[in-house]
Amino acid sequence: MPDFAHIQKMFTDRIRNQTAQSIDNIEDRRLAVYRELFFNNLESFIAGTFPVLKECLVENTWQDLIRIFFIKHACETPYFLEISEEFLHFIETDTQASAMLPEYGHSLAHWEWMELFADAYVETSNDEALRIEFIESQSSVLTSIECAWLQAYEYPVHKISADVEMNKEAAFLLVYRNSQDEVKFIELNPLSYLLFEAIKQNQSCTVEEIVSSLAVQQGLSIEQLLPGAIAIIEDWNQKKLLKVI
Amino acid sequence: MVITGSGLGLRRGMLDEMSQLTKDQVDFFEVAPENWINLGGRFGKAFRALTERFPFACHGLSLSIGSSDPLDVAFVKDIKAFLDTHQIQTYSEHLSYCSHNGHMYDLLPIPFTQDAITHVVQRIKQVQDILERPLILENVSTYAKFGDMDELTFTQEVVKQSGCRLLLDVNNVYVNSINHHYDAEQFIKALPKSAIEYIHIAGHFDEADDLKVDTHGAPVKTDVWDLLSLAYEVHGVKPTLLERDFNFPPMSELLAEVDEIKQRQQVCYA
Repeated sequence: MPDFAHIQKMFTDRIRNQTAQSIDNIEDRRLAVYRELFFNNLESFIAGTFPVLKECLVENTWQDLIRIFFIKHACETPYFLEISEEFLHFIETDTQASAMLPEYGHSLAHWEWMELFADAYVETSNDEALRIEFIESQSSVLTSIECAWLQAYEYPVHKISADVEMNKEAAFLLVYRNSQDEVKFIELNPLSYLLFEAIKQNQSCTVEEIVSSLAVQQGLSIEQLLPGAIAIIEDWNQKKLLKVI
Repeated sequence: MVITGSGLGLRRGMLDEMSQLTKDQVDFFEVAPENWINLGGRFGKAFRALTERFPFACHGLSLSIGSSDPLDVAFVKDIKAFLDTHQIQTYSEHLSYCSHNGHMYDLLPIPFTQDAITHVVQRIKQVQDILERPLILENVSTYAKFGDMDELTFTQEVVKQSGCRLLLDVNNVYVNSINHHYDAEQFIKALPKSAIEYIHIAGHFDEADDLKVDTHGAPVKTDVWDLLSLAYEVHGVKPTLLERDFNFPPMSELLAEVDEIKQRQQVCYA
């Protein structure tokens, strides 16, 4: 290793980890400036994406979590908004980090990251022009706009705060970016979740055909399912979540 | 578009206010491409609208030109595509490194050694080839020094051997002159005149009498303003950007500092 690379290794090890081998010829207070700048910078990027997770943890636990991420994880992304994604992946896969989280920690972190993802997502199609004003009939062939994502969680992640006791209870959520580019979400039930998923995947089926195959799948009759399905599709249409293929 | 006059760093946190500014108030904006690449939605649209109205400079943070980690070629190509898409000619980075066994997201002092010069020069050439633009490198604030050379010699050698351009940050010269006990005026005077492309100015934090920290979170200090005027006298008036990243004051206070840049440029033209 060249001299300069050796110095870089010693210095960065020491910035990441106070217990790493000490370096000659550097005052403690100068090393401290680097240690604080780097840690606080990283912490602020992560806290910006996961404010609720931070609030739900004891302050020391949060600090420890950031510290072990800093020490153990080699960040690959040059993009600041993507640090959170690496952090999310780290706390999902690192057993030491995982053990520091409450049971709902992974679900909550994913949900908080989802908001950033939806906000920053680069749309590839020009969906706005394709949005429809109303559904003419059950024979419409629809799909969802590009900026709409379904997520199912084991905990009601959208209701979590530091003051609320969390019990395990499935949550089906639809996150979307509206025509003003604001990120919104809707809570779905399991059936409407499946319906939206079928519409999102849809390429050529009419609304009636989609509802019909969903009814078969669920052991219901189409008459039982159709009126409710049409009402909810109309609601999604009002929110401009659908487009005609 | 080429940058001229006096500019302001564009920040997402002040995007609404900054989008209201006119060309009478600010001549150009500067952004860190790492904060805007792969960014769609409201921010992507606002950025696009501003690039159509103002000249922009890109001031990168993650290139890590002095790192011994491999150069991220895919990232440099992303930068090139971003510059081309938004028709931005000016791309600057830091004579620094910000990664070692992974990104660390802040600036570290390159050890001032011969082997570091060789390494940096080779990487600058590689980056310039990909970008098809000159790489402009900024002198950075440091709080520790490694290697047997001084900062001025190291900088001069890198410029000489690589043909890169310089972004002179007068606040960083001031901060380092205190932190590492050298003469700020002598440092500025000794920089290669023909290499200086543009200038940065910012505020800093007084950690101690003999230790200053480049926070970009305070108004510009008088001594630093004087160094800006000196730089204009010695090297000629260059496009100059005010950096402010934290503790944002009201827009009127930021604009007053931008006006101060303009006045000092006028004095030199007069």
